[in-house]
Amino acid sequence: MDGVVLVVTASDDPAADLVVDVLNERRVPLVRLDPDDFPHSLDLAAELGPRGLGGTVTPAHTELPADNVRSVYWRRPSAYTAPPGMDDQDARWVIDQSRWGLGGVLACLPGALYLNHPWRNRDAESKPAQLAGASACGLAIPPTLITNQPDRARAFARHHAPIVYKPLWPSRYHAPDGTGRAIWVRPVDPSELDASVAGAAHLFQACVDKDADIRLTAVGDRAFAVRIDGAPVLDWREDYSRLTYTPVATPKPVVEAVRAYLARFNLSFGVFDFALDRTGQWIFLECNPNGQWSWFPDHITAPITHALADLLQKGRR
Amino acid sequence: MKRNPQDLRPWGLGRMAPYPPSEPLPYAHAELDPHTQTGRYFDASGRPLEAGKHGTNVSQQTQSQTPVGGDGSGPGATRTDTTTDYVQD
Repeated sequence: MDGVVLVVTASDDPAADLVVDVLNERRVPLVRLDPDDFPHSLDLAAELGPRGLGGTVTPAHTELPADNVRSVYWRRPSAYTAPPGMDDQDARWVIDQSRWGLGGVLACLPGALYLNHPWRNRDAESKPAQLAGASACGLAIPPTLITNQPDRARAFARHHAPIVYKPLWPSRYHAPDGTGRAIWVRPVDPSELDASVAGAAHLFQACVDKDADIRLTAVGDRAFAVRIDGAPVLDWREDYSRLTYTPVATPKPVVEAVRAYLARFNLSFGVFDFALDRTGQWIFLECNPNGQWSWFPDHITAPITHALADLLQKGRR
Repeated sequence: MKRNPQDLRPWGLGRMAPYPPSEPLPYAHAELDPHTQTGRYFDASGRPLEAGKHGTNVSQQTQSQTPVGGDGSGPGATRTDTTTDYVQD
């Protein structure tokens, strides 16, 4: 037997549905689970001995042999949960045991290709690591400063004007009325940079004079680049309503750099954001190792879906 | 009393802004079809939605116009462009 494809994600994940549909058409054996079903409706009996990891992970309706997984599609699992009514400390203990127990087992399935491994995703989410890695792989990056020193921020702003500010992590944040808040990439007026810069780590970056944005979805060796036009503001993620998407060819040096980047971070998948500057150069902005891709129009999504299914079907063996 | 700059509200927090208006999620809840291993989507009254009518993941969470739970486990947690599970490490 060629082994099972394991899909780790929440029940409401339309992107995973697309890939699962293709794998079903190809009659590839598949198990999908969400770790938040543990321990109430998902059982775990992992065995470790001289032959390594074996045993079973058993979601509702099916069973996963831990030593017969060809690939793992690590998408968007729900957060681990504890039974309702537990006090906070006990609940945290249960969640920690789940994360290091079930999560630990799912992270070391023998011989499986991970798309991506969750711990590699975590490593690759770091913005400083992304920029340093991209530069080392031959991609152009905008001059960037991470600082808590107001004087340094002001000097950077003078030297590189115009500049933008980006958060180092997209924390969940809410206004008092409960509605969500986010920090969008917007220009910085240098006169705004006051002493309060000292209160946290801040990332400032030279603003690329861009013609358009490029979103490149890399699946294994394959790269699917889409030019994004029509953004009414600097950060196209702020307003999707007027965006248009055009598939474009990826320049060979960028393809090679993207492959080197994935290899450097041990990733099988990554979603890269580039700014296309006025000279036609692709400037690396960030790489989301678990970025979304299924919101594109169908003609763009379909080849990505099939590339993901190809890689998961092939696995490592 | 003089305050240290480190005690001021950090500059970056002043950049917090609302999400633009967005369509609410077209489904109220989802469960896994044990046969196909794909999601089955239901509206608020429990009626199943037709295939293809439940939308697709966007790059940032879209339903943040409405209040969400403070525990990070609401449906929004699966919509963002960043993986959430390991944040507390």
